[in-house]
Formats: sequence, C-alpha cells, structure tokens
Amino acid sequence: MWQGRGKTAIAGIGYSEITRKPEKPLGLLAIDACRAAIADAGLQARQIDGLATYPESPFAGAGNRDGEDVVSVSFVLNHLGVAADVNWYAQIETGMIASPVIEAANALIVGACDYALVWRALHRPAPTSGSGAGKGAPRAGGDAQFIAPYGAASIVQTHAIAWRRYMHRHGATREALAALALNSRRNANLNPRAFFHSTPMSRDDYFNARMIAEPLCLYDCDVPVDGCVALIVTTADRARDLRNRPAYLAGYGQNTARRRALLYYTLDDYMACGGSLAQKLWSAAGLGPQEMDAAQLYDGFNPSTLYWLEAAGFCREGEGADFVTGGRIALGGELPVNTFGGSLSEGRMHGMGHIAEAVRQVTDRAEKRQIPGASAVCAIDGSPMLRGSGIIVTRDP
Amino acid sequence: MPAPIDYSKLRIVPDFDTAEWWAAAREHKYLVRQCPDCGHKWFPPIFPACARCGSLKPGWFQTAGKGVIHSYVVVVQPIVGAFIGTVPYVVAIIELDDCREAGGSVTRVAGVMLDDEPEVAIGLPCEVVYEETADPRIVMPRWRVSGSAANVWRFNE
Repeated sequence: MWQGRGKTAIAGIGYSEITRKPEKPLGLLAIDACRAAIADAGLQARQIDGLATYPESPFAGAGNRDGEDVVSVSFVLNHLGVAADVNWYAQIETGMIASPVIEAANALIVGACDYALVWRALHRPAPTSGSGAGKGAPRAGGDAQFIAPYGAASIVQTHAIAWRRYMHRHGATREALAALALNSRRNANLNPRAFFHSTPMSRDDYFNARMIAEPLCLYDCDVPVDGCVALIVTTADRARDLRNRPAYLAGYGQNTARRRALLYYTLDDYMACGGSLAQKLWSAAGLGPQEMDAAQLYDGFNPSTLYWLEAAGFCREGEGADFVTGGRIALGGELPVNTFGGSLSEGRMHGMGHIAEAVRQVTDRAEKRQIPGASAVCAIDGSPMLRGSGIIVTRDP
Repeated sequence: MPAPIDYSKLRIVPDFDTAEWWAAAREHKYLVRQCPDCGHKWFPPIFPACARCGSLKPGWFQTAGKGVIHSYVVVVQPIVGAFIGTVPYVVAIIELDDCREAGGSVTRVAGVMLDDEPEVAIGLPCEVVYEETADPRIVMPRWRVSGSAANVWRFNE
C-alpha cells in the first residue's frame, strides 16, 4: 500500500468556460480556472506555493506557444499573483493528466509545499488540412518516417485498428460504443459545464454520424474544445480546515510508453499496459474494482473506456461489450461510468474532467448526478500503451 | 476513383538510425531491425537498443515481405496532406511471416494497401510491392492481398 494513502486531498475545483468559440486566449482561460479553483477551496492566490501542469499539446503539430496553445508553469507564475516564493513546481509529460496531481501529493507529503495548484489547459487549433500550404511540405522525421507516409498520423487511426481487432477477437459490435456514447451524453445533459449540456443524442444520431476512421465515427471521438480545469491539492490536515469536504487521495498508478511508435501499438499493448497500471492503482490504495462506487474512465476515443473496464478488472477481458449494455453503467446502475459526460460530451479536458467528477462524487458536490453516499471513485486517463495515469479518491481518509 | 498519394507534400527526413532502411527500400528490399546478439527483431527502426537483451549494436534482417493482416483502418477523413485526394484508403498492420519468434512475439509493420476496402480482411495473406515516387531518393513500400484464407474476418455493419 502507498505510504501516502489518505495523507493528501483535493480541496478545490475550478473550470474555465469550455467552448469552441473562445473569446480570449488559452492562457486567460487557464487563469479563470485557476482563480476558480483557489476560490472554491477558500484560499487566496498568494497562499499557492506549488504549481504543476501536464503541458503537452493535444497532438503533434498543434503548436507550442505559451499562453496560446499551451499554458506552462511559467505562464501561471507570471499571471496569477501566487506566493512571492513558490516552493515547488513541475511540468510533467510522463504518465498523463493525473501525474501532476500524483507528484504534487508526494511533494506535499514531504513538505515541499503547502498548497499546490494543478491545471490542464487545452486548445483546439484551427483545423488545417495538414498540407502545410505555403510553408513547404511538412517534415516527416523520427517516428513520423514510418507513420506519415502511410497516411495514419492521428491516434484515431491507431484506435480504429485496435478496435477492429477487438471486434474480430471478441465478436463485439458498434452497439457497445453506441451504449457508451449515449450514456455519456445523458450524463452530460445533467452537467452544466459540459459542452453538450443542452444537446441530447439518440441512437439514430450515433449510427447516422459520419465515419472518421472506420470503424470509428464522429461520436467515438472526444469533442475538441478550448478550456482549462484546475485543482487544489493539499495535505489532509490543511484540507480539513478549508471550505469543502476533502476528497482524499487513496492511491495512484501511472505508466509511460515503452518503445514502438504511435501507429504500431496494438490492442494487446493497450491491455497489457492498462492492466499493469491498474495493478499499481489497486495495490497502492488497498482497494479493488468491486469497491468503486463509480468509474471515470478515459474516453479520448470511445473504445478506451471499454478497454479500461477490462484492464482494470471491472469485467473480464472480452466481456466489456456486454458489460456496457443493459443499463449497468448508467447513473443508478451497478457501476456508473463517466457520470459527468466524459471527454466525449463534456469536452476534451483529457483526464481532468474525470478527476474533477471523481472529487465531486465523493464530496457530495455532483449536482443532479450525485451517487448517494459515494465513498470511493477512480479516475483513470490515457491510452496506456502510450501513457496513462489514474487515482482513487475517497470520502474518508 | 481516388487520386494517387502525393508524396511531394511530405518531406521525409532519413536520419542516423534510418538512412540504411531508406537506401534498402530504393533497391526494393524491406529491412527490419535485428539484434546480432540475441536475434530479436523490431520495427520501426527508430530505437537503437534491443528490447530483449539491451544490445546497442542493432543490425538488419531482410524480410521476404510476406505476412498476414493483423488489423486495419479505412481512413475517411485525411490528416496527412499527401492523402487529401486519396480517401478512402486502407492502412494495415501486417505480421511478417519470417519474423515470428519463440514465445509468440512477431514483428509488425504498417503500410497502405493497394486494395480497396472490400478486398481487405483480418487474416488475409499479403505481400509488399514498391511504389516509385517523384523523389528518386524515396521508394515507398505498399502492400497488397496475395491470396485467400479459410478464416478471415470483415466488419459488416
């Protein structure tokens, strides 16, 4: 078991607007989210003495201008009015979205700082054809030498290949993905922050959507948005003196890619890496899947949620498609999944929406989506063959 | 009828690890990395260290370029500019017949099929063919279905 179990907590959540028509640059959306998280915890900005983010751009070539495409520690340090002396900071691109929360927790436990602010800001760059018009042909070096010339430079294509293999291996159909997408949309309709809060989805909407990378359609992809989610992480003792009920951090697991290049990852890689991450998570927390009151499982692309259900042991390998149909994953079901709408319907905040919702559920702040008395919820993000991270938060330390 | 792939919209940059691979492709040879110490093979050739024994002296193995389709995607929305006029096209992951190792590990390569979607299926045998491009330094391996199989799987929904 993790020695830090129950010693830290998430004490505040802040959201910027989640939008596809931003009226301000990403950096200022991030400041909105950071200020909201600080206020939510009942703190002042000058009390923040730890800063961490997962700053990576959402995809290769998305741009790297600080405050426009990404929001670095340096940007927040210079625009937020935090403590004169910040004691701890980190920009983490190993693991995934939960990783700066995990590193903040370990820093807090050893006294490296008192109140850590963690954010993830995501920008939806203007669509391009990838033609590099007017700038000469785009460069295909490194890994891209064996990816771009095959016309498969997006992770959606890697996922489509793995999902076709899954259907072949386990006899699944698109009904499983429809069940997941519709579940997420119903939950987003109860989440006032969700991009698709006011937009219902029918089964026909799902099956009539255009293909992007067959067999994956438009609604199997998360919705790219501009926005930022921020969290306050502090020690359990300090958290108890703040405004909200603390969401205690019970355990974590993370994983970073070993070898291969994006296009070459397979379903087997996904399951192996996901399984090992989940093992770290369960053993750190001393909890198992049967003790989770809900699961917030990554859905950058829809099949990910299915793979995580299997890799984390909520069901056996190959049984995910049956598991997600029949109401089991709905609010009120045996294991509510992505109760906030997921990245599919809340918006592409990578795993931050998943973490924020896990916190809301164990602290009775989940609005119309509240699972009565939820005591332990996991939030797991990433495509684990590339990178992944997960945490468990609990009502009691 | 989809347009051919416009490789002029892609500037391929061979490097220290890959220059020999591109040189071999010009001679219609398909190479995968092979460790001279333990025999392990891998692709793409962008990692100089052997994952099995840690050797840092990778060599090459020339495959016959025959394999089986592991899985594939039908790309409908192009991301890479060179493929804007080419949709829909099929990108496959291929398990090479002469790169199967003890313990079940197999080297997988990727490529664009010459065949249209209805002709491609998981489990079909396929073979490499070489496509000349406008750039004399770049010859591109493509793949085509080379036979039939008793148990193939297609997604029909």
